[in-house]
Amino acid sequence: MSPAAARTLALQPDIVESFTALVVQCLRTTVGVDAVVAAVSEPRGALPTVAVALDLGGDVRGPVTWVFPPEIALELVRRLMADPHPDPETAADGAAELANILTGCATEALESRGFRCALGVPRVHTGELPGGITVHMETAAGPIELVLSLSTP
Amino acid sequence: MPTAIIIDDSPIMRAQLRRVLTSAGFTVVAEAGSAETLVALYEQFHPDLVSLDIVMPGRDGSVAAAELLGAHPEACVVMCTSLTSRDRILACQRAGVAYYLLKPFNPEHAAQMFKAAVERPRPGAHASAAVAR
Repeated sequence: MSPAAARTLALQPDIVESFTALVVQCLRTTVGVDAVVAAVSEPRGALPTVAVALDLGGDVRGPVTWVFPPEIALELVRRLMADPHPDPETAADGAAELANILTGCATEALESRGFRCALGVPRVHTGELPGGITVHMETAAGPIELVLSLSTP
Repeated sequence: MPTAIIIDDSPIMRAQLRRVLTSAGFTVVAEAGSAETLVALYEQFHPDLVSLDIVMPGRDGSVAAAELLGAHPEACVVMCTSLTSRDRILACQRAGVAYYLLKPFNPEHAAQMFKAAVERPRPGAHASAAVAR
């Protein structure tokens, strides 16, 4: 890890802000959704409808968990498969790929600060959301929640 | 008509890559959701291009690319990934990968990259041609 990354606090507010800014930008280019950050807080505890988690390894470790409205996941399927009426059952696949794309884009916020990141494979998350910094985003298709349960080893 | 293999664990991403490759004039001869069978598929079909994801269950795509290019330096590999990690990209470069497609990608740009990748002369391909002569 570089000297700059040797700081113990991995999730300082500026990192969360940069991570979220990249997410908002990537949402716009990937699924054409404009998201507005409504709050940064603890998880609301509601059961997710389509939730996907990816584990980060390396200098910053832990899961990044996404909760998407099914409509946003299906929008990615529409775009990738050029199918205007995708099967609703493909929402989970769409959510997994969207989580993969968004997390891959946004980890640049960590890499640019000297934290090396290894990204895991997306997995469907069931049950309550993990603890961590939660970013609530509002979109026309419904709210998106991003839970960063990250720490330095 | 050039041929291609798609290795990606996401079914919808495979579908998109199939569509883009087909529109670029390729015939997709095989697809797989993991890199475990990459070398076997390559040796079976000898495709002109391999589209390879990096983060997948089982074998990492960058490791699989190194293995493939070690055995078949003439292989044309395009890494298709959402990762921007310098370490992973450097690992792919060291293995001999020259093309990267970052997700989310513009289908037209992707088609151009696939065409450019197979048109680029490759050392292994030249060696094979020389031996054939």
